[in-house]
Amino acid sequence: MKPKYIVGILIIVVFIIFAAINLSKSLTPYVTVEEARKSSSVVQVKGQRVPGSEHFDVDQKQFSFRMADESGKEFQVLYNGVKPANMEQAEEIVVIGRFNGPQFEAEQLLVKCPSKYQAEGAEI
Amino acid sequence: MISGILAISIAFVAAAVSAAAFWLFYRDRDERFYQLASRSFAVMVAGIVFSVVLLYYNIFTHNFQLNYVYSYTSLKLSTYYLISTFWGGQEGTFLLWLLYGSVFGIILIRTVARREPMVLFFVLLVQAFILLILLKKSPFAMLWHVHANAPVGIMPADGQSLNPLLQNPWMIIHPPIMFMGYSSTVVAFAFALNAMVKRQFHAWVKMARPWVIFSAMMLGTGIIMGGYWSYVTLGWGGYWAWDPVENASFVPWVFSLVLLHGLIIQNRQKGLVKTNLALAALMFISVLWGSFLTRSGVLADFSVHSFAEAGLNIYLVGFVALFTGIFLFLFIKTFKNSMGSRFAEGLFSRETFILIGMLTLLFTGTVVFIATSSPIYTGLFGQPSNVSIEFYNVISIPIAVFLLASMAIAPLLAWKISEFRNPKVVGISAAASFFITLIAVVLGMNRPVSILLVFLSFFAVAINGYVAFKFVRKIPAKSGPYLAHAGIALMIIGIISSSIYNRSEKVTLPAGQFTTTQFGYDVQFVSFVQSPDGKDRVRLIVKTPKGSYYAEPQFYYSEYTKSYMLSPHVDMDIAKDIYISPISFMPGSNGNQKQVRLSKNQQEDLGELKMTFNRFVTGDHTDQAPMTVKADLSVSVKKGDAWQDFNVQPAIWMENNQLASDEVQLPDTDYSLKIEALDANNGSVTLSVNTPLSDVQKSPDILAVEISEKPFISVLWFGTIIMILGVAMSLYDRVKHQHQ
Repeated sequence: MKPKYIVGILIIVVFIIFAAINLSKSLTPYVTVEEARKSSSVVQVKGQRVPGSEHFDVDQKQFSFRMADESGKEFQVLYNGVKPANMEQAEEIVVIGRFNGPQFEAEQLLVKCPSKYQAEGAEI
Repeated sequence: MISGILAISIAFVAAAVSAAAFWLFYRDRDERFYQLASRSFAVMVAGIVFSVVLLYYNIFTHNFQLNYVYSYTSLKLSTYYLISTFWGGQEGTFLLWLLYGSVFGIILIRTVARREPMVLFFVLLVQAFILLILLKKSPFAMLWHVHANAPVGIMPADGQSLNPLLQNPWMIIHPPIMFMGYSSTVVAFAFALNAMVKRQFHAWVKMARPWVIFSAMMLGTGIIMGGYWSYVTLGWGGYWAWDPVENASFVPWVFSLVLLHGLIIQNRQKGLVKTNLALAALMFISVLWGSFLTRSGVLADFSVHSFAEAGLNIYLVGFVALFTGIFLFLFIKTFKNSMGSRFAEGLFSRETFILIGMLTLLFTGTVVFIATSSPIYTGLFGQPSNVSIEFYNVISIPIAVFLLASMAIAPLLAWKISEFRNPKVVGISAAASFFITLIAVVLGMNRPVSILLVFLSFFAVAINGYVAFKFVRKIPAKSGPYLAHAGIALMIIGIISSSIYNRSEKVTLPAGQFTTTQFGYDVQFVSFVQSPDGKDRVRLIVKTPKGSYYAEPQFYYSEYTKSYMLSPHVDMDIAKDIYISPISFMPGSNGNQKQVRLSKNQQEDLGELKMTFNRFVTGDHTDQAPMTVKADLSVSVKKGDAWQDFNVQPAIWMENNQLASDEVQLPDTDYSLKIEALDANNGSVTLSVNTPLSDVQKSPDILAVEISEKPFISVLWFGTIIMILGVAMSLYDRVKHQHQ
């Protein structure tokens, strides 16, 4: 076998290992609040927002709200970004991040809005 | 709507008949079969065109009895957006796909059908399958077919309209271009299958090449338009988020690029025969797989895009399985026959470096493909997990290094033999790139990775730019590929500068006064500006060192989403974009009463008064007595320079089925407190605080915005244009020399 192929295969193998390690590292599972509190890595928690708890702190310039996970446990979420436009309508919210003390610091906030197919029957 | 369903049914039968006839024509070479095939094809096209026209007719006449029209359109949408509602829903996009398939089919019939009837056979198989899906999920379903509780014959007064985010000029052209790219991948796939059926493994290369270039061009253009739309519309500041829907378009594009280069090598050296067959399949199947991921609802928990569970899973999976099966069957059957020649003798030949680029892209596409699908396979073993954005960002660094290196070096090398050319050009380019990178470092670029990538990018731009320039004077069309590569290198520069060196800050702007931000802008929130289309804006005055301008980002309440929608204002410049997104609006108070909402142990600072909510106190009570709840509060009030502490317990109770509460005066002060409401669910209390009249200050409306600076993002858009131009030129070149 030519050395050129060996080098090539070696590089490919290194790449694949590199990708595999990073992939397994960055898998973020859905967990409950309890599991999220214990976890030191980035996780995602699914749940409902607590209505009326959205608060924009003018001094800290941070957006925070309370959220209840699927088992109903509430926790405070701090989000350092722009409040998603359709937050109030969300039937479900996914926060991706980790706990820092009592608060969940969200790196990402996904907002699932009710599919418009659902409310339809009543309106027609 | 019976005529529409009938049209699709007829088209489906016609596609099946046409496919069968093309196959028979291939087997028997009987002219009658060809006539049957082309006539059935014409019937299929007629059925599809009729469906398209019928759907548009219903959209424009506002026939809200039709579920599709009701779900995506409304009376007040303008003509342009009514046009775009056609691809607002899944059924419409499938119809669009079919329409493109018909156009490609017509082109193929006029060019290769007689010689290569099996190409049409496979294209028609795909058409038939999509038609089948549309029979299952019909764009012509009436409201009462879809909604069990809707009475038959109902005609709603208005439709539900199109998502306001999609009411954007870019959304009129982005989806049709994207779908043109998706649907065109079938052609190269059909050529590859045909090659295996006929066991002629080289003839398809020339025929398929322009189609692959076309797919790559459309997919690339569509992706970038989507990114640009996201950048100027969504307000989160970026153009790419590695979202499943984005990845589903990215992967086929990357595979189309690999195939494109593979075909170049096979055309010259007769090598990579099996690879190219597999790549054509990979490109097409990744399109199918992407549409399964994004249309089936399997990723609904993992994307900000909304997915409707359409009940098509079994069809879509069947679609993927069928075509993967056909490919594998033919591939294995012809495996021994499809040997290519050995090629790329020298280590430093152009082929070697094209191959490195291909491998890098293949790796990229595969990894993104695997990562995007992760919720499916992790779901088999436990909790479905997805892959964080960080993963994509990490792997893209080595990918960019390899891509840039191969793009920069390949043009300098000769085909086949190991030989460096133009040492002078290399020297000058390297020196110039080094110099420019040095300037970037002086300007603040500090990370080693960015320095390396930016140097390589400039080097690739210089080399490819030089070669392109040489060709422009001799054979202009031949400069296309080099321009495209230079464009991609420019895009990488723009991506690095605008993402790694993006900086943003949040500012709160009291109305009517200038606030100086950390970045040194003076910004004033002037007022809300009404807009006739309902998309109201906020007007800001932004003073920069270069002058001042009005920024008017959108910030409005949408009836459609029942929430506030926002869109950024982007002040575009070559050196940097200033990107302003509204975050939040807080109406000011002009009275002396303030409402405060407190959770347990939460402290609220009202300037001269601070208070903490300790707990609820519920007294002993019997069923007869009204239930009274008290809120235990610790309050500090500033008196002169000292703080005076109080502990108070305002109460709230039910009286004659109404809430009543008492007002508690803080001793020796002018402050008083009263409970307005309780929320037992989260244990919070809302208080109204009456402040002394002497302290009354009108607090103005406050708008919070995020201001970002995106250095040299213009280079990304410029590079994009260069790339698309380059690809378009090579497409022109390929089509022109098709028969040589």
